[in-house]
Amino acid sequence: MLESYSGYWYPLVFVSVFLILSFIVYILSRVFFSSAHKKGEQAKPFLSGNKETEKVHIPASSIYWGFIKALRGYYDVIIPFHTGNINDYMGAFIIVLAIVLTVVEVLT
Amino acid sequence: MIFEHAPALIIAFPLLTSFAVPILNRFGEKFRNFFVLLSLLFSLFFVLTLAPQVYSHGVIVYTFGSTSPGITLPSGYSMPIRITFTIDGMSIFMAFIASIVSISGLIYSWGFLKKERVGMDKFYSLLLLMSVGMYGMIFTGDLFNMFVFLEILSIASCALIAFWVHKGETSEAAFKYMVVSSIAALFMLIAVGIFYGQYNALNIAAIASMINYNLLDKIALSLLIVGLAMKAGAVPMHMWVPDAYGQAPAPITMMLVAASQASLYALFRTCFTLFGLRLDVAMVGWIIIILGILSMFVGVTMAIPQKDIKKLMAYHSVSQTGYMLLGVGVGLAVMNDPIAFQTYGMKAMEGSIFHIINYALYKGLLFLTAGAIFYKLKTRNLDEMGGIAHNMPLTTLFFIIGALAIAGIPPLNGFASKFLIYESVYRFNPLLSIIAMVVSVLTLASFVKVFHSAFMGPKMKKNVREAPRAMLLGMAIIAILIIIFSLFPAMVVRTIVDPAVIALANQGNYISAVMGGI
Amino acid sequence: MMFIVYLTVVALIGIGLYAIIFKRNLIKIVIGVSLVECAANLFLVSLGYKEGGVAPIFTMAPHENMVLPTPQALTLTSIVIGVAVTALMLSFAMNYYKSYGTLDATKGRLKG
Repeated sequence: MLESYSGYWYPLVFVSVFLILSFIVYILSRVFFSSAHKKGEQAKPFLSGNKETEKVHIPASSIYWGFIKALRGYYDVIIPFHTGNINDYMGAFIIVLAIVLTVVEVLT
Repeated sequence: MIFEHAPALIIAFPLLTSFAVPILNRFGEKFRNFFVLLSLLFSLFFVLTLAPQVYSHGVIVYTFGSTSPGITLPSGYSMPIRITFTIDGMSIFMAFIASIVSISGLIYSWGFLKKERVGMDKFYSLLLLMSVGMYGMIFTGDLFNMFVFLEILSIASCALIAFWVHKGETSEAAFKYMVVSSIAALFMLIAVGIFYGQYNALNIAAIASMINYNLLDKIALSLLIVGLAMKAGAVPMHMWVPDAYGQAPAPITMMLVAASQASLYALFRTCFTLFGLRLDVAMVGWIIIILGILSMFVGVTMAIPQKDIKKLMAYHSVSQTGYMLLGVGVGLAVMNDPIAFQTYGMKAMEGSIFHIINYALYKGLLFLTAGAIFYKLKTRNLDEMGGIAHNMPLTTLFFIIGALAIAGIPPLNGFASKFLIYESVYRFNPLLSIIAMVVSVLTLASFVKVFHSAFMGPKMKKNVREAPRAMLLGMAIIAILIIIFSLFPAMVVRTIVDPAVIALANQGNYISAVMGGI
Repeated sequence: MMFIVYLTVVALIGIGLYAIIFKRNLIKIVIGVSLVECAANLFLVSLGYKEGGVAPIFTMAPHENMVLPTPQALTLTSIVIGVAVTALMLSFAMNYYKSYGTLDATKGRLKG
C-alpha cells in the first residue's frame, strides 16, 4: 500500500474490483441484453441514415486541429522558437545561465 | 572476496568487452553477441550483489588501489586524494535503471539492426561504452571523474546517434548534441576547477565538508545546475532532445533516455550532496521547480502538433523530466524546514525519484514500439500510418501499456508516482499541482492521437508482419517490469526508492562515510 | 600576475561562446568549442601554478616547494577528451557537408 500523507493507493484492490465489476457487467449483459439485435441495421454502431463509407482514416495532422487553432497565439510564439539552429540552442543556454547567475548572486 | 571489488567489476566488464568486441567479431556474430550480453549480465549480477550491502551498511566507499581513500602526510595533513567510488542508495537505484535499459536495448538491437552489414562491431563497442559512462557517472565519488564519464557517455552516444551515417539528418542531430553536451561538460569542468582552486580537493565528500557557499561557489553552482539541466533536457534548453532522440536508432534512443537520467542524477548530487543545507534551498529549489514546470508544459504542448512519432515521444521526454525536476525541487525548497520536509517534502522526492525509474521503463518501451513500427513501415511519419493493430498485435499491446503508463492511468506505474507528486506538491503550492495534472491530461490526449492515427483504422495494403522475435523479447522484458511495478508500487518504493531519498536527504552520512575512513 | 591569466580565461570563454552563438559556419562553431575548452584547460593549469615551485618530476629536488601535480594530470585528461570531441564534431560537420552541400548551420533540416 502506497501512502501519501492524505491518501493511499493499493493497485491490487483496484485491479480486483475492476475484474469483479467487469465480470458482473458481462453476466448482466448476457442476462438482460440477450434479446438485442445481432444482425441487420440496428447492430451497426452508427445509425445515421447515411451510407457508411468504408476505409475512412483521419490523418494525424488533422487531429486536434481545433486545439491548435484555439491556442494560436501560444503556438505562433513557441513553434518559431524551435528553429533547429545550434546557435539558438546555445543562445538559450547562455540566457538561462545569465538569469540563474544573477538570481543566485543577487538574491542571496 | 571478489564481491569486495564489485564496484570496480561493474565498470570493468563492459569496458574491457567493449574494446574486445572488434576481436570477438572475427569469431562470428552469435559469439560476439553472446559475449556482449554476458558482460552486461555480469554487471547486472554485481549490481544485484552490491544492493543488499548498500541497504544494510549505508554508504559503500570503494578505493582504487588501496583500502582507504585518504592519505596522511607527515605534517598531519590528511585528505582523500585517491580515486573512489562512493555508492549509496541513490547510486544503486540509478544503477538498476542503467543495467535494465542496457540489457533490453542490447537484445532489441539484435533484431532491429539485423539487416545492417557494416559497423556492427563498433555499434556494440559504443553501446557498451555508453553503459560504462552511465555506471561511472552514477558510482563515482569524484567530481572530475564525473566529468570524464560524462564525456565518455556523450562521445559514445553522439557516435551512435549518427549510426546511419549516410543520412545527413543523423549527422546534424549528432553535431548539435555534441556541441550541447561538450559545452555543458566544459562548464562543469570550470566549476570543478573553481572548487579545486578553493578547497584543494576533487572528492565530492571532501568538498562538501568544507564548502561555505561564497561568491565563487555560487558561480560554480550556477554553472553546474544550468549545464546539467541542459544535458537532462530542461526547457528552454531542450531543443536538442527532439533532434537527437528522433534521429537515433530506437535502442539508442532508449539508452539516451537513461543517459539523460544520469545527468539528472548528477544535478541532484550537486544540489543535495555537494551543497546540501548550505544552499539557499528555497531559491535553488524554486529555480529547479520553474525549470520543471516550464519543461512539463512546453514539452507537452509541443508534442501535440508533431507528426513524426519519435519526435512526439521525444517532446514527451522533456515533459516527463519536468515531473522529476518538480518533485525534487519541492523537496529541496522545503529542506531547511524539518516539519514541512517530513510531511510532504520527503513524499515529493519519493514520488519524483520513483518517477525516474517508471519513466525510464515506459519511455523506453514506447521508443522501442516506435522503433518496431519504423522497422516494418520504414517511415516515422504518423500521416502515412494506419491500421498497424491488425498486423502487429503484440507491438500494439506493448504500446498500449506504455501509453497508459505515461498518461498516468491507474493501475499502471505512472499513476503511482504521479499520485505521490500531485498530493505532496499540492500541499506545497496548489497551482503547481494543477499544472502537473493538466499536463498529464494533455499527455493522454497526444497518445490518443498516436494510437488513433498509427494503430487504428482500416487494414494496410502493404503486407506487414509482427516485429522479429529479438525485438519482441526486448520489449517484453520492459513490459513485464512495468506490470510488476504497477501491481506492487509500495514494495518497490519501500525497497529501492526510500533508500535513495534518504541517501539524498542525509548529506552527513555521505560525508562521514568518506571522511571518516581517513 | 594571476589576475591576467584569469582575465585571459574569461576572454577566451567569451570569444568561444561568441563564435558558437553568432557564427553560422559549423567549422567556426567547432573552433568556438575548442576555444572554450582551451580556456578550461588554461584555468586548470593556472590553478596549479605556484611562485617559485619545482615541477614534481625531480627526485632530488628540495621538497618544500614542490607543485602538486593534480591540475596537470586533470589538464592532460581534459586535452585528450577535447581531441576526441573535436575530431568527432569535425567528422559530423564533414557528413553534414556531404549530404547538404553546405556548412551553414541555419540550413539544417531538423526543425520544430
